[in-house]
Amino acid sequence: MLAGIGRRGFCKGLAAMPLAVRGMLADPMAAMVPGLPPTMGGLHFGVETFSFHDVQQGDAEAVPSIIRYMTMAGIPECEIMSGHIEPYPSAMTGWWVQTRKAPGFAEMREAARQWRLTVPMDYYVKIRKQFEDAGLRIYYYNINFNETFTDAERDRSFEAAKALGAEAISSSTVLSEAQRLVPFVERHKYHVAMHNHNNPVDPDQFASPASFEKALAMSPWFQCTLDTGHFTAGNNDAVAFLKQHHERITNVHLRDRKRNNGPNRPFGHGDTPLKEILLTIRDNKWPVRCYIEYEYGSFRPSVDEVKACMQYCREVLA
Amino acid sequence: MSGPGSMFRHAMVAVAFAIGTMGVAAQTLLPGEAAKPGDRDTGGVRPPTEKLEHGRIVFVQSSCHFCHGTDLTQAQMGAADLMHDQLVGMDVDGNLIGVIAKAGLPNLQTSMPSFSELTPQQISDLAAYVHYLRQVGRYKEAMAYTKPGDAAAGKVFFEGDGGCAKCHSTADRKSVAIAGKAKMLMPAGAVPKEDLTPSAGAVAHQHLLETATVTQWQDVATYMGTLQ
Repeated sequence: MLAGIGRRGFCKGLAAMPLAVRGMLADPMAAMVPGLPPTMGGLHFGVETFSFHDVQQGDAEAVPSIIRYMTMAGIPECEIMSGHIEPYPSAMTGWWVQTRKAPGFAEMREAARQWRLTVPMDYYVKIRKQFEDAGLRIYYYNINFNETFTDAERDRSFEAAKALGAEAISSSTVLSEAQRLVPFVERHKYHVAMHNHNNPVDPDQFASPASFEKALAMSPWFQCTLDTGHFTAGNNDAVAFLKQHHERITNVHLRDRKRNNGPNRPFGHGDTPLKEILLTIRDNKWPVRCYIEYEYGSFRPSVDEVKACMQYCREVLA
Repeated sequence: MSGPGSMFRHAMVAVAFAIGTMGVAAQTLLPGEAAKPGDRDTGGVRPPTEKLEHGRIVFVQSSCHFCHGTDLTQAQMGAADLMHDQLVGMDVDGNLIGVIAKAGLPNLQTSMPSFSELTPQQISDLAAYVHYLRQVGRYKEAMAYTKPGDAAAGKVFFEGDGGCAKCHSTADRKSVAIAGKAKMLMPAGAVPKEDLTPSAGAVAHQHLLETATVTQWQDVATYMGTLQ
């Protein structure tokens, strides 16, 4: 035990420590990626694998495709969607409430549950190794907790994230589910970062600074994945939120949307203050990781657009 | 071989012919079928007219396909199933689609963005493309049915809500085998004009293709089978 710090105090301090710093202390992998430079312009860049729209969820070839695309785009780390590593039914069990009304949902949900509860952890370890062998890193596991999860499933999701080598879970979830997750993050001593959208009327959703702050107050193990595009579309100020809460923001999702619930646009064409966000993080040396989330319309393959997003960031930071 | 199944199949072929010649099949390459290199990109398959291609550009650049599916199938993220949504079937030249696209649906769990900057021309082209995809998809759904339906219900639909009897005469079909069939399937006014303006029959079939259910098609086909 460290002198003057009890076990409980040490754990609290660990939870409060910015995730990227904690990750580098705990895991030398965080600082090394052979072949690809770990930073660009002083920032750690990654990609939310949702960006690769042409990779089918539940497809056995998803992981090799993602690895190939990340290598092509020169991006060393990712936030991997559960739908990209779980079999098909899991895609129906996540964020979208509408999918729960689909015919046969109950059976699909149960199949996904049984798979999660019985798959050997070695399954995830092998995926981690595939990334590591390519010189890449899974930094976050994106699984979207909701009220259809059993406690056993929640526990299993934390175990899966650890087996993948992820430093945290990033989750599109709601405040009521966050409350249910408190004992899990405390027991696993593991961060969950809440991802926002921009629904203006549902008080259970993460969409405003106040909704994030409610979750952050629930547990020091809760953090934010600030989706800068959705935040801007909801007429919020992403830079101001960064300045106020950077110690609890594990990563930002970079996307460019217009205000007033406007559409996604190519980087530099929307209202998201991407340039200010990137420069503010860099100039303050905050360990906030910057993740591309490509979602604007294009006729080109997704990897080409992810590369274009990276090029925009490169020019901003030059 | 004859019998109810055989008659149904013949009737389905007749329905397919009727829809195809006057509606969709004559103007299109079905999504995923026989696409030539260069005809397909991440936004799907290039459609046959300039207006539809403009519509496809609006559809893809507005990223509609991420949520509603490239060919209106595989709708994700809780988005409306535009292939079967009744409101889309009632739309005329974007009068309903345009309102929703411009306003967005901010209160959905994951909001549909507001595409307020779309011009009237873009709305018109977008709507045309959505209708085109819908007609292609629903045509395939209707033709995929192989089981007989309810002939009595088909007769009611034929003579009532379907509006079939406004142009097609079952009496002709019964009275003279070959000429009657031709007259029934290609009644006056069905032939496209020289400038390729869709005939009244084509417009009616396209509308029907978007509004009638697969069951109604099935019932009509079965009813037609009884007229052999």
